[in-house]
Amino acid sequence: MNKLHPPDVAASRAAPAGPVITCELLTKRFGDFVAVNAISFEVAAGEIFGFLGANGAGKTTAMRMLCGLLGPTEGAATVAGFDVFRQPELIKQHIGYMSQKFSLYEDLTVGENIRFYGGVYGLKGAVIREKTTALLQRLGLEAERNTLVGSLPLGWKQKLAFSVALLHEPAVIFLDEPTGGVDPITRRQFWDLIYEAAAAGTTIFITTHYMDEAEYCDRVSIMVDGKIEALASPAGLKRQFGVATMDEVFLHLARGAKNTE
Amino acid sequence: MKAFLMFVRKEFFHIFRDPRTLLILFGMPVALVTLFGFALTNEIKNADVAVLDFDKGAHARQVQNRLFSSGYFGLRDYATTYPDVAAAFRQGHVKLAVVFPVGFSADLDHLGHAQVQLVADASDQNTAISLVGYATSIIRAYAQEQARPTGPAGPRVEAVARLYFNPEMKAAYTFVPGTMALILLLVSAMLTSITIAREKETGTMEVLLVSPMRQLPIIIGKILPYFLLSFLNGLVILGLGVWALHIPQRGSLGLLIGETLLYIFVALALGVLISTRAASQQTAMLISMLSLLLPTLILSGFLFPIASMPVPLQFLSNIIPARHYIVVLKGIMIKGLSLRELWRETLTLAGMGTALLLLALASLKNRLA
Amino acid sequence: MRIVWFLIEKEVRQLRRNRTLLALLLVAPLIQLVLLSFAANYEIENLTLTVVDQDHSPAARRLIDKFQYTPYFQLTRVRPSSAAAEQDLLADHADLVLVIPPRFERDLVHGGAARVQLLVNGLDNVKAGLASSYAAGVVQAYQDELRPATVQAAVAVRGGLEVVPAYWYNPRLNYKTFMVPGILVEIISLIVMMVATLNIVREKEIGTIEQLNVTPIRKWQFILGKLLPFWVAGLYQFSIGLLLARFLFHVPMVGSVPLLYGIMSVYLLVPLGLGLLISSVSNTQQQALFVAFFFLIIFVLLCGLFTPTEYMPAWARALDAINPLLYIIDIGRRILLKGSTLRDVLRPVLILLGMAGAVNTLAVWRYRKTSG
Repeated sequence: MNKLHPPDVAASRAAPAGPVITCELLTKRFGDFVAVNAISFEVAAGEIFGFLGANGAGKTTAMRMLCGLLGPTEGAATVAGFDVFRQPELIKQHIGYMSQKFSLYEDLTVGENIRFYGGVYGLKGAVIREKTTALLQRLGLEAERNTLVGSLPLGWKQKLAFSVALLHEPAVIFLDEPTGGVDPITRRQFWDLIYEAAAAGTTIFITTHYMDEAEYCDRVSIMVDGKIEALASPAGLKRQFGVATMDEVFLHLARGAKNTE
Repeated sequence: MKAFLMFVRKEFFHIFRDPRTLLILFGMPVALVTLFGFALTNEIKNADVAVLDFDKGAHARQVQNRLFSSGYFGLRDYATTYPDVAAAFRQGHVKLAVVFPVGFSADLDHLGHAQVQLVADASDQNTAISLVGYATSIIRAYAQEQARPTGPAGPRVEAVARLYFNPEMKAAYTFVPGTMALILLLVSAMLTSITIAREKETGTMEVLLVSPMRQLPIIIGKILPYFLLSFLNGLVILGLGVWALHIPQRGSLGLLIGETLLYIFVALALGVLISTRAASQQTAMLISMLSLLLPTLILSGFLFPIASMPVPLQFLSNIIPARHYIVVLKGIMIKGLSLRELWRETLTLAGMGTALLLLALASLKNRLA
Repeated sequence: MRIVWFLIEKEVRQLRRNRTLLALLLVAPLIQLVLLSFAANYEIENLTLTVVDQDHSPAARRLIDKFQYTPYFQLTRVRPSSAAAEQDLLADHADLVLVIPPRFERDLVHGGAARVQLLVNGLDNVKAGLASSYAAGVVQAYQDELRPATVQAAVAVRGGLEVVPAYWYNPRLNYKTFMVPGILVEIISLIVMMVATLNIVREKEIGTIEQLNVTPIRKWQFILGKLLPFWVAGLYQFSIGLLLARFLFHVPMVGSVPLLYGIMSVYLLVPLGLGLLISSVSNTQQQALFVAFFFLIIFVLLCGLFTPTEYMPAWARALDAINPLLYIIDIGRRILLKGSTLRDVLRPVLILLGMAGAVNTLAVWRYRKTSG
C-alpha cells in the first residue's frame, strides 16, 4: 500500500487551544472484567487524536463513554466542558459521532438523511438547506441528492456519514474506525475531509487499525488490556521505542496483551 | 453428510446459546395452552341477572328459585321498571332480565298458560343467546313438572338420549384441541420464517446458497433443529391437553404423534416459504403473524362452525392447515379414530407440506437465477 | 416539537419506500376485515340428522317427517342400523342420530308407550345442547299430537308456560353487528402493535439507533416520533373500517361516532406504547416478535369477542383486567349498539387512559440512550 502524505491543509491548521477532552482515571468494569482501566489523558482543541489498540483492548468502550453512550464506572472525564457522568445529554449537543456500523438510513435519499440529522440537532430549515447544498458540493455529490443512500458505494457513504456528523458544527467528532473496508484512494479523500475539519477548529478523536493513518495524527495513544500504554506524537513514539514505523511500535506494545481477539 | 451434520449443529448452537429464546420457545406455548385451556369456555356460571317481577305470585317465585339454584344464574338486581333494565344493560353488569308480567301466576293456574319474558342484552350476542338458552330450558323443565300431576293417559313416546364422545358436554373438548393446533402452528411457522429471513438479511444465506451444498440439504439442515424443537413442543402441548386439561386419549398414541409430526412439517414448510419470499425479517414476521393468527382462529373451525360460513369461505377454509389437524386431534383423542377414518385429513396435510416445501425451493432457485 | 416533526417525516419517508409494509399496514387489514367478518358466524343453521328406521311403519314415518320439517334439522343420511349410524357420528357427518326401534308403532298402539333413541354427537357442547333440546321438543310435539283432545287439554292446563325472548340492541341477532366492530379493532391492534414492536429493535439491529443516541434528541421526542405515524395509520384503518362496517355490513351506529373516534385515539396509544416498550427492551427482532405475539394472542382470544369472559375462572379474569382489547371492544359495542354516552363508559375509558399513560411512560423510561 502506498504511504499517504498529509495534505497541504495540515499546514494552515489553527493552533491548539485549551483541552476539549479531559480524562482522569476513567474506568469501566463489566462485572469482574475491567474493560477500561483508569485511563488519563487530555485532548486539545483542534487536535487530531489517534486512539489505537488491538481489538478488545477497550478503545471502543472508552470512546462510547466519552460520547455518553455508556455510563462509566469511576474516574472523571469532561467533553467540550461537560461532565461525562452528569451531563451526557449536553455532551451530545456538542459532539459528532461516526460508528463502525454504517449509520445513515439506507432507505432514505442523501438529501433526506442530511435533512433528518440536521433537524434532529435542531438546525433551522433554511440553515439545513444551505448546509445541504454546501455539503453536497464539497463532496461532489450534487447529482446524488435524490439517490437512496443504500445504493451508493461504501466510500461515498462513509464520506457522507462523516459530513453529516459535522453538520451541527460540533466541538469534537468521534470517529470509530471510519475507514474500515474502503480502498486507499477513498481513504486518502477521507483524510482530506478530516484535515479540513480539523483546520476549521474541530477536534478529531479517531480510532483506527491502519498504522499509516496513525502517522497523520498529532498525537497517538495506544491501549493495551484497558490501559493506555503509550501516548505521544508519532515521531515521539518511534523515538521512544527505537523503531522506524508505527507498525513496529504497535507490535511491540500489543505483544504483551492478554485481551485480544 | 459431514457438512450437513455440522450445519445442523450450528443451528442448534444458535438456538441453545440464547436462554431468552429458549424460554420463549418452551415457556410460552405451555403458558398459552394452559391459559386458554382453562379460560376459554362458553359455559355459563353464576351469570348476573335482573328480575322484573310485576306478578309477585307463587309461580314467579318458584321459577326464580329454580333459576337461582341452578348454579347458572345469580340475582343481581330487582328492577321495578323497564327503564331500570335498560339502565342496568347500559352499565353492563347485567346481560339478562327475567320479566314476569302482571297476573303470571294466576294465568298459569287458571287459564293454563302464561308468558314469561327473557330480555337479553344482545349487543353481547353470544352471551345473550347462551343465557336465554339456559334460562329457557330451566323454565321449560319447571313447566313440565307442573304438567305431570294431571298424568298422561294415552300413547307416550319416550326419547332416550345418549351423548357420544363427550357425555358431560365439556366445552374443553372444543377449545383445547383448537388451542393446541393454533399455538403449535404459529410458534413453529414464525420460528422458521424468522431464522431464514435473518440469514438473508445478514447475508449468510447467500453464502450458504453459493456453497457446494445442494439446496434441499440446506433447507432440511435449517429446519431439522426446529423440527425437533417443535416436536418437543408438540409433545408438551399434547401432554398438557391430556394431563392438565383432561382431554381423553382414546386412539393410538403412535398415530397421534405421527399426525403431529406431519402438522409440524406443514407449519415449518409454511415458515420457510414465507421467509424465502419476504425481503426482510420485519416483513417475514408481519406476514406470518398477520396471515396466520386471525385466519387460523376464525377459518379453522376452531371457534366458528365451518358449515355456517358462506360457501366460498368454506372452500377457503380448506387451505388452513389447522382445520385438518383439529379434525385429526379430535378424531384420535376424543373419538378414538384410526388412520382408516382420517386418511383424507392426513393426505391433505401431507400434500400441503410437500407443496409448500416445493414452492419454497422454487423461490430459492429464483433468487439464485 | 420540531425535532419530533423531523422524526415523523423520516418514519413516513421510510414507510413510503417499503411497499410490502405499506400494503400490510393499509390494505391487508381491510381485506382481512371483510373476509373474516363473513366467516365469523356462530349461528348453527342446520343440524345434520341421520335416521335409523327399523320399524318402517306409518307412525315411524310421521316422526321422521316431524323432524325433517322443523327448521332445525336437515336429514342427510338414512342408515339400516345403529352401528352404521355411529359411523356418521365418528365422521362428524351427523350431529344427531334418531333411532326408531322395531315394533315402535306396535308399542305405541298396544302398550301405549314407545321408545326412540337419540344419539347425540357431544364433540361440540353447544351443538350437542341444541340438538338434544330441539329433538326433545320435536318428540314432545309428536306425542302431544297422538293424544286424544281431552288429554291434550289436561296437559295444557298446567304446562302452557311460554318463554318469550327479547333481544335488545340487536333484535335480529345479526352476528355481523356484533363481530365486525370487534374484528376491526382486533386487526388494527394486531398490525399497529406489531409494526411498533419491530421498529426500534430493527434500528438497533441495523445500527442506526446508535447514531440517534449520540444526538441530543430527548427520549420522549424519540418515542413520540415513533408513535405518531402509526397512530395516524391506525386511525386511518379505523375510519375505512367504520365505513365498511356501516355500508357493507350495515352495522347500526346508535351512539356518537365522534365519541368513539376520540376513545379509539386514546386506545391506540396502548398497543403502540406496549409495542415500543417491548421494542426498546428487546435485543433482536425475533425476541420482540415473540413477546408481542404472547401479549397479542392473549388479548385477542380473551377479549370477549369469541367467548364470554365473565365466566372464566377468577384468576383468568384477574389477568384479563389488563387486556386493553377487552375494554375497547366493550366500549365500541356499547356506543355503537346501545348509544351509551361518555358518562356510561367512563370507567373503561379511564382505565384505557391509565394504561396508555403507563405503557408510554414506561416506554420512554425504558428506552436507553446510555447503557451500562
